[in-house]
Amino acid sequence: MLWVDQHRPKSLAGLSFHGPLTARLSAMGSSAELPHLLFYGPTGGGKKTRCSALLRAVYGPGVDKLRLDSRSFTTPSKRTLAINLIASAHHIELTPSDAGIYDRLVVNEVIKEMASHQAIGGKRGFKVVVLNDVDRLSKQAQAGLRRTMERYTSSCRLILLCSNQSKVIEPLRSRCLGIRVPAPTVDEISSVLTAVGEKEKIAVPPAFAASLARNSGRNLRRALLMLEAAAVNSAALTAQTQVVKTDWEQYIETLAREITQEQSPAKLLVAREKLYELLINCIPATVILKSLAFHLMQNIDDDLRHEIISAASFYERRLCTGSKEIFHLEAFVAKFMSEYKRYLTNMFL
Amino acid sequence: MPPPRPLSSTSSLGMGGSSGANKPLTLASWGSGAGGRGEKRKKPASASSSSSKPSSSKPSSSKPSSSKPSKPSKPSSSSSQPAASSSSSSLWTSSHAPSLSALAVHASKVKEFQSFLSSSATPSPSSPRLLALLGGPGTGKRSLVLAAAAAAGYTVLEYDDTYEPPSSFRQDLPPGAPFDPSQPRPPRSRSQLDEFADFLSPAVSGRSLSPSSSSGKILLLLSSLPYLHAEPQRERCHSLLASALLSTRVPIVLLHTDLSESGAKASPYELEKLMGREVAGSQWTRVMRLNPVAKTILKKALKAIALSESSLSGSPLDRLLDLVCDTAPGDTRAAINELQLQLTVLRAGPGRTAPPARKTSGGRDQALGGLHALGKLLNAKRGPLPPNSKEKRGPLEFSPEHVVETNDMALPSIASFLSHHAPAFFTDVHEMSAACASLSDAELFVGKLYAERDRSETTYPEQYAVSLLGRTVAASNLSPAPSTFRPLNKPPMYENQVREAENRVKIEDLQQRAGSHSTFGSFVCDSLPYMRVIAPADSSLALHSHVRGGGENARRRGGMEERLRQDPDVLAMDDIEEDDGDDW
Repeated sequence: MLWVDQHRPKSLAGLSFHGPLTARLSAMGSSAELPHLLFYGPTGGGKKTRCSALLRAVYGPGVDKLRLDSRSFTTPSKRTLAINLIASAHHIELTPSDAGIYDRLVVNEVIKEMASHQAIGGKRGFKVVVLNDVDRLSKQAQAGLRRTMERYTSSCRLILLCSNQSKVIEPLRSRCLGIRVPAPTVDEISSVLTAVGEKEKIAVPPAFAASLARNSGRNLRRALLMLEAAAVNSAALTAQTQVVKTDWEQYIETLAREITQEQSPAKLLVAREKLYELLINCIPATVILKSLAFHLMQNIDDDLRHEIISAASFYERRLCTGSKEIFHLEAFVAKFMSEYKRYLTNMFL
Repeated sequence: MPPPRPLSSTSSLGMGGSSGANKPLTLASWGSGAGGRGEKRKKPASASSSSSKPSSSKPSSSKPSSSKPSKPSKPSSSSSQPAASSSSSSLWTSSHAPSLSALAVHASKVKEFQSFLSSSATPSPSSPRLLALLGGPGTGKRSLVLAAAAAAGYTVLEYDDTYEPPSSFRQDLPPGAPFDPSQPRPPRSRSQLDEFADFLSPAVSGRSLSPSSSSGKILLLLSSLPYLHAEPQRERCHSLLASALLSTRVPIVLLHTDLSESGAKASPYELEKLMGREVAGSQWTRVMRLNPVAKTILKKALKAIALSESSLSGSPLDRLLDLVCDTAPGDTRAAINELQLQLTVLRAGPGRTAPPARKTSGGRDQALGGLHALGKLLNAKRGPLPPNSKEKRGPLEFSPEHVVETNDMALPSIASFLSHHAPAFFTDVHEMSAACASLSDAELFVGKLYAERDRSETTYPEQYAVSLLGRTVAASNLSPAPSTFRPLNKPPMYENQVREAENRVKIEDLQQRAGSHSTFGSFVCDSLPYMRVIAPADSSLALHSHVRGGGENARRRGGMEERLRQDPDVLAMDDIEEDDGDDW
């Protein structure tokens, strides 16, 4: 088991940062009622950890007995799709956006089913449905969610998790108590890294911990993974120990370097191969685009940055609305090549 | 084992092949109604027969029998009808089956076929045994075989995919009872392939002919092979054919209508797909191709029919024939049908003697084959610039919208192909960027078109997508790459999607084993790369990879997987090391 999962705090008392938030959550956990909740904040900030700690405070250790389930749904067009769920006696957790365009169906079915059985054996009269990645839900699914939510309030509470609150429709946000979980600061991450190091009996130099925290983009999960990878790679950690980057990021970095070196139709064909390779390895297209855009930003002059970021945001939208990702990724690369080449030519005129 | 259905070549009326003979029900009934009136003028004796139905038979029985004359199960009623009625109520394509001399096939092709027949008759180990006769619809494949076989005194045993062993649907009828199509047939209990096998094995030995046939010479005609989808069945069919080829004592002719663009040669691959590798490569197999019928030949054949069926002659007839030939270029069957239609209309309209000046009925769309159309769109050739024009480029030589719309490929495939191949046709980065942007627009439209087709009532403006796609390269490519041969291979988009899905399953499986409860996206982006470092043994997945060099994908995939198994991210590392060597 990875350190990230192994050393994840199980109870609210074990949480190490965001003190005021933890105090509010424990007050909520000990009260009889629980509102619908919307946890939002950047990835690796501890939303999920706080959510499960809260559930533990509400229901006791029973929620730790998890089982993995695969549930199949039949769509109106008679297709069956299987969705993985994690469930305990008191709650159920799923990522409905896995169902693609059928997310509305999955959300409605699951909540209806949860609500139709009265909670038994718990001290609470309701069960909880945890939905991951609500910001990736379609608008229809979100609208459907808001009705379902109202209808079954008596027997079922929802906890929604998302990284971007602005992609959640207004009515849904108004029905939930929003809980912002900000990214931990560099110092907070460093202290967590040191604590984990102590448990694993590894000395983590403060300078190295700080460098990990910065390199992770204040993403605690990634920082912990980096720490573990570094610990595996080298016998003793020092401030100079190499920080391990993810392979796909290095790959994108190479790609960014290549297309700033040469701009030609032939180079686009080379770039296309790399994009395909990333897609085949299941890296989400939006992540590819974002990472590529920000790596490109480092290579170019300030004057050009605005153009590139506006192109990136345009094609980000295209990725959401279109159906074949490679078209739009390629169009972004071509756009960059064209803009950059024009910039270079103007410079030497 | 039921004996194969003997088909005497002299009784065969089949000008139209299986497709013409199988579905003339609606057309034939039209012909009998409208044509009957016309007959009055010419042949008063038979006028009554067109409306009269023999009282002894059931009303519906005469049509299937006359439209499918090759069936031996001809009801007794039709034989009592006057001969003229069958010609007036049936299609001319079947009633005017050509003799060898009247065949609308080029004389050299007829000779080629005859030489196959004669050389197959000589008992030598190298003599040919099977002839694959290819050609577009209506080029006279079947007519050629029937006419030439009849002239050379062969008896034709014919198989097509509607073949049923003679006993299978008559077993529960008392002998001599008229065949009644309104009665449901007993369900087929055997597969088409089994029946094909039953037909083939006695037929090739030439022993199970019915005693009525006097001539010993037999020709086996496979008008079509059983219609098969699944690979194992197709393989069995091919092996049946191969064993027939090995043991046959009679010449076999296999007809195949290829729908490729006219003039295109059948590739070895297509032949292999049709007959199987073994048969296609055999020393006993010959391939012959009938080209679309030349206009002069077609016109001559049509004239003979028109003169026998109508009183029209001289220049009105000539004009009509020109018109008909243009409506159905190179297709004898369609041309004869068209002629029948035109003449029937002429007869029906009182006082109308002149043929219409323009084409009045359907005809067919002239569509380019898939790859040809793509080549047009990608090359985007332009004509010369008209004098004193302000434009920089000449006009396009084609209409992009028309090319896209009449193409037989679906819009998403066209989009994929264009996007895959377009960069090779550009030299300028800015122009290519414009093309990519427009392809991205087009993809958006096409995607919407297909995603929302079944859900929303509003039809998405397909025209936009068509126009955008068609004009992508033409509009943006001001300085095209010099034209050269560029192979158009399949875009790897679909294969890559499949691989991505397979990889996803593997990664999800690993995620479950690792007990990680994070979402899939964050597992792939964060956890998985580090897990490869932390616990390489546990997290090594044989993930598929995108291999360079499109066409080689399938072949090299096994090798790639092997490499990846040894080191899950060998490909990514390779690339990075390679590029770190650069002086940057």
